[in-house]
Amino acid sequence: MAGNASRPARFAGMAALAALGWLAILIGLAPIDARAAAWPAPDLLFGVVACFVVRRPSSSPAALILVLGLARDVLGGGPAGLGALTLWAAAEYLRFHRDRFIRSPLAEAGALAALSLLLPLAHLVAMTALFAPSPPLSVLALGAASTFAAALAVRVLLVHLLRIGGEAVENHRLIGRAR
Amino acid sequence: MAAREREDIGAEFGRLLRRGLIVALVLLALALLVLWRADSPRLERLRMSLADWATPSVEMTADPIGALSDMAADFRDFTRVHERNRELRAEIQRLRAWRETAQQLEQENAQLRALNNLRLGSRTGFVAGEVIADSGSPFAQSALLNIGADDGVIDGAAAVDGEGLVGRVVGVGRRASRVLLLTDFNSRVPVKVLPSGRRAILSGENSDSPRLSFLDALAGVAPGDQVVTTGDGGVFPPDLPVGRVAVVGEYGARVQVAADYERLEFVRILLYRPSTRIDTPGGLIAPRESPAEPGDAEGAAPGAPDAPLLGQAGAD
Repeated sequence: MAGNASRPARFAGMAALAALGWLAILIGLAPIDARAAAWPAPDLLFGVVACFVVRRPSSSPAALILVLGLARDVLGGGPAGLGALTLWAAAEYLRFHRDRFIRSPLAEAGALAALSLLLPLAHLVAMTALFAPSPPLSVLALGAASTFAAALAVRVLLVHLLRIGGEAVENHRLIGRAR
Repeated sequence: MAAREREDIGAEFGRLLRRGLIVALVLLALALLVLWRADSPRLERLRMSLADWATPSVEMTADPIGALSDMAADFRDFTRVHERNRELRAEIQRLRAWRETAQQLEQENAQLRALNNLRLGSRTGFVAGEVIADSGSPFAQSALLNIGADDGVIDGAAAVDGEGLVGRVVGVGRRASRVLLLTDFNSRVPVKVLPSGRRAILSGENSDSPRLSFLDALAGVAPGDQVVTTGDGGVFPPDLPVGRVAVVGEYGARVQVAADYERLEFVRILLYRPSTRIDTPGGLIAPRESPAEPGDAEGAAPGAPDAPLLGQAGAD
């Protein structure tokens, strides 16, 4: 798949991912309500990365995703590194199954929903393994719901307004297989 | 043929480089996680370096989003304007009664000070800053301010808003600093409950009502009691308002913090430097040859009540 896009197009895609990812981090950090019981802010970076990795896999290298995740973790003040690792794992899952998601928006929405729920759960498991205190499950569930909603909104914004379409699928028999 | 081989070698080298970079970044993420768990100051320094670099763009993004958030809040307030009006009228009545009480107490206080020839300690200074970011994650409760070491912010300083204690500075960059809110899991503040004077540690639990840990006894502690800082340890000034006891149950008490976290826009960082001079016999292993005067020992105790209350700090 990497061979489909020309080198300048790939670099332009990477620059777009870096810029939009950074914007997503900044919006996620905006101070709206600092109460602990307030509705958690959605993970906008996940939405941007998910959209890019499905539609422009050659422009979304794992290293760039890890760097964006690390920047978000370090700037945010939470458990540093954990968010980057889970984001990278989610991105690789989406990259692996991208053909299926390109063909079926419903399958993509289902995967986004599942990953929105699995990411905070993975955090919870890691925090428990590290003997670190975790927020209540209700707060995590609210966060997962807002992340899913935001991921769908980001997808609509990027695909329909910014015209970030999908790269061509090389071999339709390889649906659901990594390239 | 040779050109093809060179291309293959180049492609293979690029692939190896990419894999090496990914492995290095994964190892870096794991190392940061370990540093975070170990509460390493290196991680905080890294955070503040990045925050210093990112402060202009964070501020640029926070301003329009803050304006949108304010508009939404104003609309909510507008929909319940009559109810708010009634609440405010009742509040004015209550405050008038308090003002009279405060004036009487101020006169009485001045008379008592004059009678005792009391020497007042130096006042605590402050520097005010704007909240430009919060943690954005349920796993941490912190806020990023647009003031740093260049503005005089010191590590560990108390952060207050107009209502009471907000938290503690845990990271200082040149142009930015990070405040750990009282509600964060890692927040621990020595407090006392008034009027009983019982001492406890206010422990954050990522909920709006932190717990009073190590409370020596629940007797004399009731909902509505005021909670203030003790000044123990010399990190915070004493008698800063923290909140009020919200619930007293079988398993302890919880506090409703006074700070308005819902609309946390500006905070003041108190520049409080208690004396850490050890000159009392109790503070040394070996006793001194000439014991200090009792008056001196009291004056040098960390957290001595020489710092003003919240309102006084603002008057500086």
